[in-house]
This record gives sequence, structure tokens and C-alpha cells, in this order.
Amino acid sequence: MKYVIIGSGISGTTAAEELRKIDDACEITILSTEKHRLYSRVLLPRYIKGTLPRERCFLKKETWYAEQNIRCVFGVRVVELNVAEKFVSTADGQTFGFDKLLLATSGDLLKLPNDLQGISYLRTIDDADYFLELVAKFASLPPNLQRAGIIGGSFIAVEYINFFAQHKIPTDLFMLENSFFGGALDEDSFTILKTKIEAEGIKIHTNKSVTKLIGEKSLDGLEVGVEKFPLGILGVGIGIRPKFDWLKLAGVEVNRGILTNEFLETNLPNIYASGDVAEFYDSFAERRIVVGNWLNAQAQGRCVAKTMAGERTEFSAVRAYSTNVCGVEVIFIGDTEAKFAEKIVKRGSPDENGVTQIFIRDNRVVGATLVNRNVDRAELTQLIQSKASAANL
Amino acid sequence: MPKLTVKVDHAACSGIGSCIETSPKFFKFDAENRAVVISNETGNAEAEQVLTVSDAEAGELMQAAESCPMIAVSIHDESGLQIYG
Repeated sequence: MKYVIIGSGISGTTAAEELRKIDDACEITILSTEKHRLYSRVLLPRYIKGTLPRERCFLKKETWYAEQNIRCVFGVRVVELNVAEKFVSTADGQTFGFDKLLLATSGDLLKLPNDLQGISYLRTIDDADYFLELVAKFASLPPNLQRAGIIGGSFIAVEYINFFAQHKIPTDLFMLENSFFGGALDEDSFTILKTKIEAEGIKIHTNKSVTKLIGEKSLDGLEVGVEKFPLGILGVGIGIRPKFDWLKLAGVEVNRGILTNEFLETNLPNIYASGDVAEFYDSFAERRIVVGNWLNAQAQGRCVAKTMAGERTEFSAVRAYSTNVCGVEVIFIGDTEAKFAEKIVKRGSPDENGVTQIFIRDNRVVGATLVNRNVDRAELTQLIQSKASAANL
Repeated sequence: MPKLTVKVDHAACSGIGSCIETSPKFFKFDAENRAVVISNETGNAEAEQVLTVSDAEAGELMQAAESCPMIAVSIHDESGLQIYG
């Protein structure tokens, strides 16, 4: 059996590892735009803070791929899928035949139109290296530029917030929405975060779009409407956009992500998707969703490998993810898109320094956001998992 | 039967839950959203436990430790040698 996996992140690598456990004779090839072996993206904040050496971010040794008999081709971009003849081609003209194909990419980072020195993206370990270079030069900038900016309200923005807060760098943060995480948090939850973040010297500007970057080669500041903000370093976390043109051409159905059923199978036989790029059917949410976090990608990689190897396995897990923003713990469980909830029940308040939103649909709990209320996690996870009536709340 | 000391570094654990997803038998969250190790003898959960386990369970613990993207789970064998983390 010949497996090709596109994407060397946690989902693709986990799938490869599981396939090897199941079948020690199969051929496994990973194709990746990455230049590095698997590393932990979630450790990058500790690396840039200086609390973890760079080498510790890597989760696999250089020798691991050879030991596992997994061929990994780094630095290549797949641009064509030929379904009839079962091969993929890369931009540099290589072709790779497969019996089964896994799509486990993460998409391309959205970038600002200007590429000025001082602008940072924190997606990869190379981005983290560059950010540290910028930080090293920061103290030598003119005093009026010794300020920072952040664009976005995502998990990446959180990493910049924590870094600039720790280093006491005065910062302005601009986001298009009125809250963090794509508007998943309500006003009360946001108030708790905003109060803590602003106390750390980071001013939050909601519903604001940066209209212009100032500077020729290096960043001198930015404009938001008529207001000017001089600054020397800018952290950007405005999302990811997968490139699906080549998949559409091959007949793979896509929407926000690559459409799959609950087995992570696409509409085409022998082609699967997992991780950030999959828009999979979630049996707890009872709809298709896209989830971009480490645990989901890892669990899906593990699950899809079984299905690819012939043991058809449903992906069934209550998704959860947590982050810490300036000491405030934020947890997302299950389906947290407010627009799909029929009712939202709230616990706590900003005065109590903790808020939980509980999302209810079809009279059952489908998701929750917890801000400084870890205590609700076990109960709500269990309610989602058991599909119990919301009357049990 | 292997005797292992399994420890979750709570300064590093950020509550992602990879260890719990991999081995719900040996890991769970505490009230602070940090992973703790469940004793297979007493059922008590602490940040650190000494566990006497089967070879299969040792493999499961190893996989749980390796799955942690924060490298927060460490495992030592009976001689004190760190075998992961």
C-alpha cells in the first residue's frame, strides 16, 4: 500500500506514525512546504519568551523519519492532483503516486500587502526566529518608535499580547471584530479580558481596521483612519487561507475547508482530509465545522490513519481548547459559534471575574466558552458528550 | 512490571489535553485546568505519581507523554533515569 500525506504538521505526522504502527510494510511519503521536521507550534511562545531553547520545540529527532521508514520531502508545494491516475505533482515538477492520499495541510498565512521590516507573523519557527531578531533591535529604535502594535484578535494575537505585556512594551491592538476569537466571546467575557489586558499597558481598539502602514523599508507606524500610531514592531495574526484551486480542479468538494464526513473521507474515494484544513462532520455539533487547534489535528491524524488502513473509524470527540491571556484562562468546548445557538445561558459576571457562556441547540448543550471558570469544564464537557437535555444544567 | 514515575509540570501544562485524549485512564484535568496523573491503585490524582503498570500501559503512558505539545509530561524509570520529557 502506498500512502501520500500532504502536510508535515501534527495531523500529517501523527497519521504517518499511526499508519506505520498498523502496517510496517507500507510506503509512506509526506510532502510539505515546511523546511523543518515536526515542531510544536504551541511551544513557540515559550521559545520567544526565552524560557525554552529552540531545539526543545522540535518533537521529532532528525533521525525519526528514517527510523520509521517514512519518506519526508520538505520544501515542496503540491499543485496538482490527478484522481484518475492517482498521483500528485509539485510545483518543482516531481510526481508522487498513491493508493491513498491524506490532505493535512494548514493553509497559507494571510499577510499585509507591505513587507516592511518590523512586521512579524508568528506561525512558524522561522517566524519566531525573525520576531526575536526584531526584539533584539527594538531597544535601538528611536524612542518614539519603541512601541508595538498588534493586528487581529486570534490565538496568534494572544501570543503577542502575552509577550508585549511581559516585556512592558506599550502596545495598541486593532481588531476588526468587537471581541477576541472571531466574536465567540460575549461582551461580559470580553470585559474581563480587556480589563486585564489594558492593565498591562495594551490598549485595545475594537471594530478598527488599519488603513495604512507608514514606512519605506522599515515600519514607522500605522494609520487607522485619520489617527496615526508611531510604532517600531507590529505583530500580525489575521488568519489563514487555504489554497483549494488545485483540489477543486480535481473534483474535491471544498467550502471553508475540505469537506469530509465523520470518517474524514472526502467525496472522492481514497482521498481523506484531517486537521486544520478539514471541514468535517462533527457528530456532537451535528454539522460540519472547521477546527484549527493542536489537539483536534492530532486526534484526527490518529483517527484517519485507521480508516485509511482499512479499519473505518468515526472521528468523535468533544473538541476543547484553552489559552491563557495575561493570566486569564479561556477555554472553548464544543461548538462555540454563537450564530448557530438557539439559546445562550450565562454563568458568572465581570464583577465575579469569571463568565461562562453555554450554547444550547435542540434543547441540548452543544458548546461553551469559559473565561476564568475552569470549574465548569468537566460538567459541560460531559453534558455535550452525553447529548443530555439542557434541563440538566 | 515497569514501575514509572509520571509527572506533569504544571508550570508548562496549558490544559490542551493531549495526554487525556491519549490516555484517559491515567490522566484527567484538575480544577485549575491542568492535567494530573491518576493512580491505578488508589484512584487519586496528583501532578506526580509512581505507577506500577503493564508493558502495554507503559506504552500508553509513553504515547501520552509524547503527545503533549508543551513537553509537560515526564517519565522516569525505577532507576531514576528520565526516559521521556
